Amino acid sequence: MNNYGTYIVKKAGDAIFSIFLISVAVFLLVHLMPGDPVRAMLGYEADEAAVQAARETLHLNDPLIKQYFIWAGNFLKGDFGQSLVLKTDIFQTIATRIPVSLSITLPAFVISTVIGIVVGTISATHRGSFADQSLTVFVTAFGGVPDFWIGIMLMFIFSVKLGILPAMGYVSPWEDMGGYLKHAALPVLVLTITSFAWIGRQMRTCMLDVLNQDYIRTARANGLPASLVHYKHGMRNTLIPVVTLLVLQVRSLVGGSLLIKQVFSIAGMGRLIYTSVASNDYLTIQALTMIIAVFVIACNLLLDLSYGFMDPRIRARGKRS
Amino acid sequence: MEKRPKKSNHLSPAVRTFFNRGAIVYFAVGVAALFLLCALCAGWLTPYDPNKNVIAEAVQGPSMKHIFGTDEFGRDVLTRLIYGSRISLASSLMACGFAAISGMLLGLLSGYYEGAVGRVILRYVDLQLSIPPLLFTIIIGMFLGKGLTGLIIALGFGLIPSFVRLMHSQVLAIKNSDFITALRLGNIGDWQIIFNHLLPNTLAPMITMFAMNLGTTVMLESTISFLGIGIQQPTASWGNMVADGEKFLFTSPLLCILPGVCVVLLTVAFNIIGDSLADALDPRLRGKL
Repeated sequence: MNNYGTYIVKKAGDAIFSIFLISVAVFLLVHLMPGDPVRAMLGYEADEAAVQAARETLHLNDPLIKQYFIWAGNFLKGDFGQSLVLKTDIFQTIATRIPVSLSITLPAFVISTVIGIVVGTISATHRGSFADQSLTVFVTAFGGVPDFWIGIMLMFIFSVKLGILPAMGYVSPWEDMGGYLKHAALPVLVLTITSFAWIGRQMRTCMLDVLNQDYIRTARANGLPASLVHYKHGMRNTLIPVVTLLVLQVRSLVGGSLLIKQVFSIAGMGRLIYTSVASNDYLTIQALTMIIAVFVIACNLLLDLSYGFMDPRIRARGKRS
Repeated sequence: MEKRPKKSNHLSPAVRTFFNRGAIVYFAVGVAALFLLCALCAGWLTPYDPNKNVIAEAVQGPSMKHIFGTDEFGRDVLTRLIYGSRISLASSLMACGFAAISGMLLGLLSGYYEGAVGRVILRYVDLQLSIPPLLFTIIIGMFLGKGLTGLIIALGFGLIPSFVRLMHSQVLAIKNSDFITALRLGNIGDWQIIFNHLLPNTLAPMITMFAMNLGTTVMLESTISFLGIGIQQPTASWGNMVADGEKFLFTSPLLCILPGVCVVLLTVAFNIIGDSLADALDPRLRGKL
């Protein structure tokens, strides 16, 4: 097996081990919560027979290790059980929420990435100029605005004052594209504003690091035009940190969208997280945390594998430097 | 009499670089100082009780008596904003302090003892990073219960990985330096090397990380309180004030706008101070920005 093959196997093994460890932590979540988890989920006034029946269904009377294997086996089959609070199948609930979340977070991710990279690059290549100062102030200011508040303010301006966009609700793009665009405009705008500021800030730092390198100075000294130095030699070498920060951004978007769904009353994953936490629905929290963690670990694995494509040194060594 | 050589001031280039961005840094320092003053002297700055209900004066607009008006329970909004700064500053400073101390310790250990100890610590950090920070903080908050102490620990836990990672990389960068090798050859104990030599040499980036995380924590605290999981009524927190004010967005938007403005001002001030500190403490970036 060549070095890159060894690298892939090692990284995949690491990812599987991480998923195992996180599954243990998530499984223990229910057991470590203060008080009786079944009573917390059913309510403290629930009758004893219902509590005992729930304990049997959840195998809570079995030894801990047996409980883990039953839970992990069910998870692998996509069977997350019934929510004791919502009285619905958890898998079905999550399956209906994911497309809603993706229809808001994906457009926001694409738009914020493009704007963030352009803004960060201009800011770094025109360092100290009025454009850089303005962009830095803009990026810093928007980086400090909580997404829930900017959501409420945009709702205030576009829905209450101007009355041009609906304040709340959601329409699926498959049912009515026009309705979707109207309802999704504000949440996508909020996520874009808060994300692009962060991407722009990181891009500026990465680009400045690269532009301070000796080979860039040498390229300039050899008389290469600034645009060629910046956009060919400079940008190409920011690829690894930029891809890294984009994967981190995916992680933030999964969690960050929680607030937006709450403010705009959109029944996506974020709202499900909120209602599960508010109602002590531990089984749904377990399933959601596990799905998100597996998703993030898979993204990290793809990121590690992409390092090998982007940096020949990593391919040659068979491990990440 | 022999003239004594003038003692050079090593701080001045760093201080100069810190203020290099001009007015915006003065503005940030001013805002942070103003909120700190509000938090420390809240009792002297306002005659009103932040938690006392005066239903007869509920949801009033700005007046001479109540500069920013009153909320749904007739409580003075300005007073609650002033007291809210205590929660924001206390939670962000203490959560960052907790994260910095724990993260630096774990980073020192993982960097110095690269073997099994280092691997276990870094594995923990990777696992924590696979859960979005807000979700992680909420889950830890569920364990610890509602209230300021639980909130501070939950916020602090969420910040630990960034400190561990930075400290780990700093220690790796200097642990093979000649002076550390010399100390080892001189039979100096591991703990003495870690705390007396490695720690002081890695403090500058840690201070920057601390300042940068302050803004993040102010925002995260308000977010969690907005969701109703953090600071509970009647205690005033900017986050729960926005949540309460949202109900009056159509009639008294100030109730929702003002606490949000405070969060934005303090977060932006901390972010600017963090950025300027990063420039001031990084020799490569000292100079024009």
